[in-house]
Amino acid sequence: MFSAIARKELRESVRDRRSLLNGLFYGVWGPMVMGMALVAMAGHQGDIGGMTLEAEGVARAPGLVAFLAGREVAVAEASGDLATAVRERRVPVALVIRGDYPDKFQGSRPAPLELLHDTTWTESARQSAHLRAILNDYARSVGDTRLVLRGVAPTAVQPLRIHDRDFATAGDRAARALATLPIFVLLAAFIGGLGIAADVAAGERERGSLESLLLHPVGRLAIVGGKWVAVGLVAMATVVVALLTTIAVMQHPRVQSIDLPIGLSALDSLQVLALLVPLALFAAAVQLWIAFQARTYKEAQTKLSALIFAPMIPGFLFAFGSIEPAPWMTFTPMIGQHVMLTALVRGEAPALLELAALSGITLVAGAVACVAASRQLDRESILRRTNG
Amino acid sequence: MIRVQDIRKRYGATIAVDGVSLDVPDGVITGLLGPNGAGKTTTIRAITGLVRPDAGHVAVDGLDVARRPMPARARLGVVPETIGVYDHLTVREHIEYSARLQGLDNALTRIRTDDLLAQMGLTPLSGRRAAGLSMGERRRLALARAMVHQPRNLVFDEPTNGLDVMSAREVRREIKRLAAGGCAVLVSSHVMPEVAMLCDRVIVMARGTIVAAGTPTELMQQHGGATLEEAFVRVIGSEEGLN
Repeated sequence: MFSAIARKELRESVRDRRSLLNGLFYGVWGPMVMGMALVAMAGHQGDIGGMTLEAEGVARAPGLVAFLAGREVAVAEASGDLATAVRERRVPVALVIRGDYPDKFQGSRPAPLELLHDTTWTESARQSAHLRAILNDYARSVGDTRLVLRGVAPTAVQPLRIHDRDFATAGDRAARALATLPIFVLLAAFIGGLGIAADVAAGERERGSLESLLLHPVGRLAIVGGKWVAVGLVAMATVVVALLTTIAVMQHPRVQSIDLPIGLSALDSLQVLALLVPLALFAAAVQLWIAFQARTYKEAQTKLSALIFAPMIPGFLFAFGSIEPAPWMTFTPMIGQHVMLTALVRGEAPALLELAALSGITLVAGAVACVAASRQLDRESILRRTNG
Repeated sequence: MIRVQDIRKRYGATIAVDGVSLDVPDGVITGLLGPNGAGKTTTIRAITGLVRPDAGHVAVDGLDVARRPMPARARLGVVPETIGVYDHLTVREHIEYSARLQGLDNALTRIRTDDLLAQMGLTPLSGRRAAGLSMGERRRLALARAMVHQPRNLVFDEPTNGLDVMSAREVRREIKRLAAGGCAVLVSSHVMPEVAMLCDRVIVMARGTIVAAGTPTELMQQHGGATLEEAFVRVIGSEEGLN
């Protein structure tokens, strides 16, 4: 009976196509957006080679201009108003050498420079940081010379020397760029079955076919179970599609050229599947439970779309490093999968025991949601419809 | 045989059914008559177990619906008032789905489906998607689904609602055939001539209670009307001021 319901729901959704394709479309589209984002981010990384700097008052600071030229920064006298050029984003960064620069410089007083930039513009922030470093180098070398001339050892005014030793591995740095990958793959588990869950639960209420269904001598749990299998299978199919697309995106020459020291190996992919299959079933059960509380397909779709934000919240918090994973999170459905996927993307193998425990807990939570959904079917108000 | 004993059901402040007792004996067509809101659908849903009465009992072939809903439902064939179909399933698939849910095996599913398609005149439509069916075709399909497990007790809620004359005649003929075959049949309706033509016994409900019962002829004699409709108006009129 249970399988008769599952088969019927699958047959209907395959014929209907709309809900099914919506889900599967995400599976392809999500990872492709991520791939494009990676390529775009890669464009901003890497060393700045030579650059041209538009400046005002070039003739006032020949020493500085020569120093900059030595660091591959070609300085050119600006033709128009530099502040406007930066504000209108025609020029990422510009330098104004003030009129009193020569006098102050000669008199060993701080010589005024204006660095024009825009911190909300990635390219501007990057170039201005680069330029500031060169300007600091120039300032230090001039200062050192002045100290030597006055008979002071430059080291005396350098009480500290800081050596940076960054322990972030190359994998870690790439994982920052790839931190959004788990969100995309994980969302596939939630988006895949959304339309079908709305259809087989709320849609059945809306069409008025639910009463006929309930009139058959079939247990409420069997009805929900059959629908669960159908929705779960579609969600799983979406996860597989999303995973295959992700692997394909990672193989693309443009992404390969970023030289990410990580990737999804065949083994990783199997582990991702082991994480996401229970999650897809959990999502399907929760979606059915919520969709049975809606009277129309549209209402269910609205509620379920709002629910999509739930798995995104822990995802973004992890992605931007706002929170550190605590031990309990590893065993919480939805959050645990995030933690483990993030670890996988970093190239760390999750403990198989933890993975098994999380999958077990997730499946039990899904079963609980199914029982809750079957309780919904026992409520007499389930037969009430919007038009009657 | 369906037996309803003193059932009561209240929704908030509204009393939908207030002490209804009725028998639907085998081989007889019992009509349930009453204006909208009289409690007919609540009574029918109590019989099918979709509504749990606050008090009273319902038994189908002696099986208590509240305590043993599954075996009781297996003995019932019900055509509800609203017939929702699955747009993307064919006529044949609808009947097969019901057969499966009634627990019929492959062979029996095929035999019963073929029989019912022929019996309901749906054979030419068997491969057609339900989305394109007319009201009459949908109702015949619902009838076929309700009869797939050959139940001995049948309940029809407004069976000819929205049907044209020819389709309504066919549905009535089928209902008569079932009763002649020894089934207990309960028909709810508010179409007077239909009840007069179809039913052996009539139970009139108003405001959640039974206000009159008997054969159509008895009702006309008791309440002094030339037609069942006049008798009905007198019974109901005294109850609720011609509502």
